Amino acid sequence: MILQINSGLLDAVVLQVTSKEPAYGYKITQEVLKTMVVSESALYPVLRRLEKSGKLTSFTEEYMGRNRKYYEITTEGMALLHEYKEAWLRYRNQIDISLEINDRKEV
Amino acid sequence: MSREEFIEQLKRNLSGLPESDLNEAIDYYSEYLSEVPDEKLSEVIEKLGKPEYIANQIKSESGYGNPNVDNKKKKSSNLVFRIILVVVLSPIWLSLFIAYASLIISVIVVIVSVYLVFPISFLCSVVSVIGTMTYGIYFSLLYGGIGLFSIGVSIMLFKVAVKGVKAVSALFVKSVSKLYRVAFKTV
Repeated sequence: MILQINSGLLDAVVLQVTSKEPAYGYKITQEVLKTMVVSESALYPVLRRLEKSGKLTSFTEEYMGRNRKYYEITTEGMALLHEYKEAWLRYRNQIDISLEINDRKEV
Repeated sequence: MSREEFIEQLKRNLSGLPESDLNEAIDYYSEYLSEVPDEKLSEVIEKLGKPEYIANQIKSESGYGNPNVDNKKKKSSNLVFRIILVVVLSPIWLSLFIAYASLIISVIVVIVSVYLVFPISFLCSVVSVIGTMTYGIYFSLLYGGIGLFSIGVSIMLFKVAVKGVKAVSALFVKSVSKLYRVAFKTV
């Protein structure tokens, strides 16, 4: 990958994944890995940070005799996700203009 | 590496973290690994990276062992250590310093005297020849001869002096740079 994924974008993707339904660490990681090139261990710090700052809450549920910690997005997290999406659109437009990408389908 | 081994190594590398942070991380990775199907385990463990690496990542996120903070701490403690070292070792470096200073002075003196030896010995010869004229021609000739002799000796010694100064200053630069390296790079 020439372009680096910054931690803001990673936060946004994690928020997006959890915005659909509460999910546990392994599941979130697999979802993120589907579209992004990040290390498997990159998600724990992200989840922890988002939880500490109140963007995610967590609850534990038993599954086949062991515990699963589910992460759920908060309203604060939803607001942040919305902010990230808007910021991304602006950013994408700026880069498109800079790189003179007129028709995204061509790329 | 098995799940248990991985968790054990992670735990060991996380020591020093507050217990709540440590347990949280251990819980997360225990759960994570138990989600992984057995046949994919070795692949996932490899992709996760070394437990040391993960531990460092967690520590830096927690604000403990943050790479930057840690470096600063290390630097400042290093500085304190160095200051103490400088004071304690002052009998050694002070005498060395004095030795080097006197060496520099002596080299300067040699250089100056090498360049002054011609005009001064010439001047002395002329003055002594003229000054001893009243005592008679033989005296004048004697002193003139001594003057010429000393000029000759100084010409002979000039080369030796230049060589000596060169050798001494080369040695000086070498030893200073070595001392510098020993004092600042290795500590």
